[in-house]
Amino acid sequence: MPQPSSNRSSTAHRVHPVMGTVGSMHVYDDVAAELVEPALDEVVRELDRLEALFSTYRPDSEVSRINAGELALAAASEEVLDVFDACTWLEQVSAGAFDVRPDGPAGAVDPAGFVKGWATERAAAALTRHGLEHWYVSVGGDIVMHGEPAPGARWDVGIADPLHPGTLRATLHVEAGAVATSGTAERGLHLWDTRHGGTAHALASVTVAGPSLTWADAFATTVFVMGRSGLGWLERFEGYHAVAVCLDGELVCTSALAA
Amino acid sequence: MNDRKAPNNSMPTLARRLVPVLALGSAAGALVFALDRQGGGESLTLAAPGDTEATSVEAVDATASESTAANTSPGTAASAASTSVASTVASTVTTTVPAAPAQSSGTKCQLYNGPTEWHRFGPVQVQAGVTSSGKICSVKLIQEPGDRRSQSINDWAVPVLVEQSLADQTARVDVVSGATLTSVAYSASLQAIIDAATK
Repeated sequence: MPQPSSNRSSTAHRVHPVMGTVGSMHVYDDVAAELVEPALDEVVRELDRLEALFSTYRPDSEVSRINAGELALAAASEEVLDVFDACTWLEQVSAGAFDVRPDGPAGAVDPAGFVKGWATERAAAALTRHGLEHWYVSVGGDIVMHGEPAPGARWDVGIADPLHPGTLRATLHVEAGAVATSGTAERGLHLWDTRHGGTAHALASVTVAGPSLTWADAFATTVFVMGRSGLGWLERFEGYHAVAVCLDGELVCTSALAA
Repeated sequence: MNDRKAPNNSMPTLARRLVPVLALGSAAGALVFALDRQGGGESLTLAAPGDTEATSVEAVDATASESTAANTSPGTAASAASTSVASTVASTVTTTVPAAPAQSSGTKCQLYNGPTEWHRFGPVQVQAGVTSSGKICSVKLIQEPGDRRSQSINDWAVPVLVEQSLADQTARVDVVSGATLTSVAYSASLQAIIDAATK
């Protein structure tokens, strides 16, 4: 099983179930707990608030009310409109591989494939507002990192092996930024997109690293749906790099990572 | 803000076209807020509403010949900016964003950088030119979401990838990224391992 890097330990941490998975916050700053706890409280509150806004499992969420025809989109909150705008843009630049209506054009809107990374990045910003410099927040393996885990050190992010649960397939040494993974476990086999090569090009998981978790997460979902050809598509977004695990266990990467 | 439409099959083009308008409008609003706080010095620190951290805004002389910032009364600049910003933004986005600041007859166009706003596609920062009489003479997006020249992306180093074999699972990591199984239990157990190990 993954082991922590030696000489690195967070000074405070919190685990919180949210968005159908588990959120985890670790702070490495050498500050008193009474300064860190209110910051962690705020991250938790913000995650819960955003989940309540977007969850399709909650009939009273804005997204559920929009789908039920109870709430006009024009009357939706600014944050919901932001997410819908971003999803629309991604649908276009991905030629439909990213789809905010997973059940087809007439189906309900479910921006869940976008919201987790977006909400995590947004909620994690509370730590910076509280003056904390070195921390990470992970929600279901979508991670936003700030500062350094130890002086002068990069973050070592293990990539879970989708074919052998409980083991790592690779490690990414990254600067502060974001890493997100999308895979079969998350999306289901039916989401493989035949327009982009079908199952012959299908991947077991895609991990995207980049400066923003919102886009690392959204791009990981998109590339996963596209399959192997999605790695070439991702090259247009400077600063974003992907490593994918193929169904046979082979690792394939975008060009800069492969070097 | 109420004219945004659902991203359905008939509307994506409009929605996409509106996005930069809205982003620019909001960032320009933040800039007006910034100008309103201006004390007349060369540099000031301010926090825009919702901004995560204070941003330093530096007054840059567009022509490098004279500084008009100190001569501009804050009240004049702010009120003029408030009234003219809407039309400026509208005209700017329907055409392309001007590369060089527009010059009113005989008056210098003083450039100001607004605070960087976290927006839907990433950071957005507006640079506006203000004349000595307080009129906005140019508005330009200097940091766009997805901007290929964006500092934050350029400065972000390419990660280093180290492959792991099944036989060798000795990697020491800070955190694990993986596709979340729909089973909360799996995620919880994976996270519990990491949490216990990093405690």
